[in-house]
Amino acid sequence: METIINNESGKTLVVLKGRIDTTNADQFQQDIAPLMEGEHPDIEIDCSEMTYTSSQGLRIFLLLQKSVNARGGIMVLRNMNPQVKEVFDITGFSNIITIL
Amino acid sequence: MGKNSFANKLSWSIIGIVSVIYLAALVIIAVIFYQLMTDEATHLSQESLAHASRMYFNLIVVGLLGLVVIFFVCRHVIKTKTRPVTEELETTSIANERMESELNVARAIQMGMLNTKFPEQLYAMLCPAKEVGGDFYDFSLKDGKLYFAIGDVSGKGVPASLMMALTSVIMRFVAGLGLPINTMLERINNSVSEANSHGMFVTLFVARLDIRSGHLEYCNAGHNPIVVIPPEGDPYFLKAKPNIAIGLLGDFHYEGESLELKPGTRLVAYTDGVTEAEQASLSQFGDDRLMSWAQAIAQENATIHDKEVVESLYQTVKHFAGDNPQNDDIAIMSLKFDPNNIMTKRRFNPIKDKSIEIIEFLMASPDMPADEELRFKLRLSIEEAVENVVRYAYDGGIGWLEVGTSLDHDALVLTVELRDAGVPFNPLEQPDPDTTSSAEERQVGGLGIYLCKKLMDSIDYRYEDGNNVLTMKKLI
Repeated sequence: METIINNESGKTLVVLKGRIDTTNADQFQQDIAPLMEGEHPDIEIDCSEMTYTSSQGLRIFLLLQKSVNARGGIMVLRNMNPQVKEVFDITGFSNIITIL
Repeated sequence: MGKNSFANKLSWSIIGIVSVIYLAALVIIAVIFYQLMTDEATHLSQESLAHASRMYFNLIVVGLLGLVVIFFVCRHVIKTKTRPVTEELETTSIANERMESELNVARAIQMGMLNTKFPEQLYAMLCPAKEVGGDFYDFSLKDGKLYFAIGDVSGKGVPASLMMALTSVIMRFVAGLGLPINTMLERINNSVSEANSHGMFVTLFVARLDIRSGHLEYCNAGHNPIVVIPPEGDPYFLKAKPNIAIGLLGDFHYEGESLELKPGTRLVAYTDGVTEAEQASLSQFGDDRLMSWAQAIAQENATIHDKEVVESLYQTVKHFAGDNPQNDDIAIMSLKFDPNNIMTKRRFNPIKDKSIEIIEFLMASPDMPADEELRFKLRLSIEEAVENVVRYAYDGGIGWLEVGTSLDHDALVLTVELRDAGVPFNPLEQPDPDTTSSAEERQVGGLGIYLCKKLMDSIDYRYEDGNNVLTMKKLI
């Protein structure tokens, strides 16, 4: 699991690579801690290389979305692979997280 | 009482008289010896004299010891002779009772030696003719190989049971070595022959079945031929190369052989207590009746369970024998080669921080499909189910988790099973998360099991023998 965070002209670009599962969920939560700060965040996450997430990964996405909402920001997840997308769909997370 | 005190007085007088006679004889011998030794006519050298003195001293010591022995022997003899009859009867019945209770304990020990944790594809029973007997069976399932054996020690009762204990312990040890089947018998034979001081012998059938391929290796050391009931066609006796019984001749070269079983083939092993069961008219059950029984079983071979097969044969034999008491030990074993639904399982203990190892074990099972999409769903469901146990089943995470997979090749249904001895907990009773609520209302819990429910085709929970058992199925 790799999390790359870049800031470009007020926008936060994130690239997620690999699997989010029981072995690295805690690490993932630490890695995205910077995204939980600042007013009116504008976050775009590229998920094209994210191959798997368990419910623990979902839990962190939910915490992040709640935090973004509370700070009056926006967040989009892009290029999600169909299998991971299905997990977001089944759990209703597609309704509360913008997936493009 | 008066009689007893008279007997006492009498016994002490007898001891006195015997002792006095003995002492007198000892003194006379001593005097003669002394006179001989000191008599100038014998002209003893210094050396011989020293030797003779030592002899003399020894004679006196041994003589006195003899006196003590005589004292005790006389006392014992008198005591036994004068014991009242009732006391004697009491002693006998106490001895009988003790013998009986010891035999009962021996039986419990012997039965306790038998493996009764039957795997899904095998069942066996043992019914000794006396409290203890010489028939036995054994089996173990390891790494997809089902090893099984049935044996019969010559004779019955305690001697046979001791020999049975010896043989089965040696056999269990040798079976764990993973040797070729004939080498296994050679090792058993050498060890038993060495320890066999009474010329007893053991007939033994030993085999090893690959539960996935149906490859059967076997070796028969003078035992009754086992019955093969194929899925189609008539049952038959399994022909085996003749090898001598165990314990007769060390260093004998045993010959093993092999057979490819068709799926659905059943094997029935037994001891001669079955075929030699007698009616009051002294006619025996015999091979023909055994085959007729096998023909009947063949009709329902596909649906009947091994336990029912074993019980059916036992009841058939008992029915045949009628009121005639069982005259020999009976052991029966039935097993079936059914490559469907074989559970590949492992118990992990402890499980703290072992989630990924457990998940990888399940994903590496030969039952798992190759298709990536299916594997994704299976892996996610497995991870959620395993995590649920690892995190919540045990306080402090100290405990075990047994996981397994099996595959029904015909229906193409994969089963994943998780078993733990943690706090009783039915995950299916937890409410599903509300997937329509907003981010702010959403709770973080309950997602894992919900994913399992959605990604698998069925999920069941049961609490069984103090274990939580979660079974998930997926059409693959």
